[in-house]
Amino acid sequence: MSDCRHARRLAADAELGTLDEADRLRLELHLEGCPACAAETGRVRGLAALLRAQADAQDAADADDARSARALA
Amino acid sequence: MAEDRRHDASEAAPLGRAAPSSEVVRRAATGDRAAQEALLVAHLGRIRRRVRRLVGASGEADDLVQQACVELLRSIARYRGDASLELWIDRITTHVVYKFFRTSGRRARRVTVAEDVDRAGPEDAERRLEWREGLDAAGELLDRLRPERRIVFLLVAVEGRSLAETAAMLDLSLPAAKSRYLRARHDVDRLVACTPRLATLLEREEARR
Repeated sequence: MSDCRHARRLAADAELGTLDEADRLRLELHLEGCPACAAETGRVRGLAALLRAQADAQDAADADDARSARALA
Repeated sequence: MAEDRRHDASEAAPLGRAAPSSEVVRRAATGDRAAQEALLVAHLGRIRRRVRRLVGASGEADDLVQQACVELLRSIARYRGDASLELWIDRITTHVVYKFFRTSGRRARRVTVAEDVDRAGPEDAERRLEWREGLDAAGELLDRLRPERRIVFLLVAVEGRSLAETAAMLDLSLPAAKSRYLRARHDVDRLVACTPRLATLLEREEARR
């Protein structure tokens, strides 16, 4: 249980860009052997990826609109 | 997220425009209208992009952009140059959006735009429908997060901000920012797990990766 709590903190560190290489390996090993933590990390990162894809699409749409406006000007 | 998507410093350059000089900033701070306009023109695209990333295609986005611009001009005299102007403007924008989250209630709901899904989502029509439903559910999920956790999650997850950047954006200590992110992460996991249409979509997308 405490391993899972520690793994959760390491996963958050990874997402915050503060995980060193040794802890990265510890996290990977834990996730390989713990379906619950792997699923949790997958849900959090999956949602982040979905929201980023949406945001990137908005940026692309804005850029297209700006190009169209310049072409019409 | 930050581990694989470090904030791109090149974003500091506004789209197709030269960043205003320190002289323009100084003049804007004294109330020079032409300098203020130049400042806004140079940074409007960045402010708009950041607002859209944090609130999605909400109908409130334009108002928030306007509020951030007003706040920028109101406080430019306090800019001392100890951080980059872009970072300073990002902090102003973040605070405007955070205040919106704290005061808006359900108006903060993200809207899923069909054209965005068409552009970003899979080619297969059935999967695109799943994406759209998933994004709707994600919008509802974000709506249920506490404002202080929602803003931290968005800064990290959508903007790819590091811990240090997130703390700086919100005037938090590093431990406080990390604590908020851990709580946000826990809430997000719990809410996704009890939202079957979203959990299923995320599992399928992960399996495809």
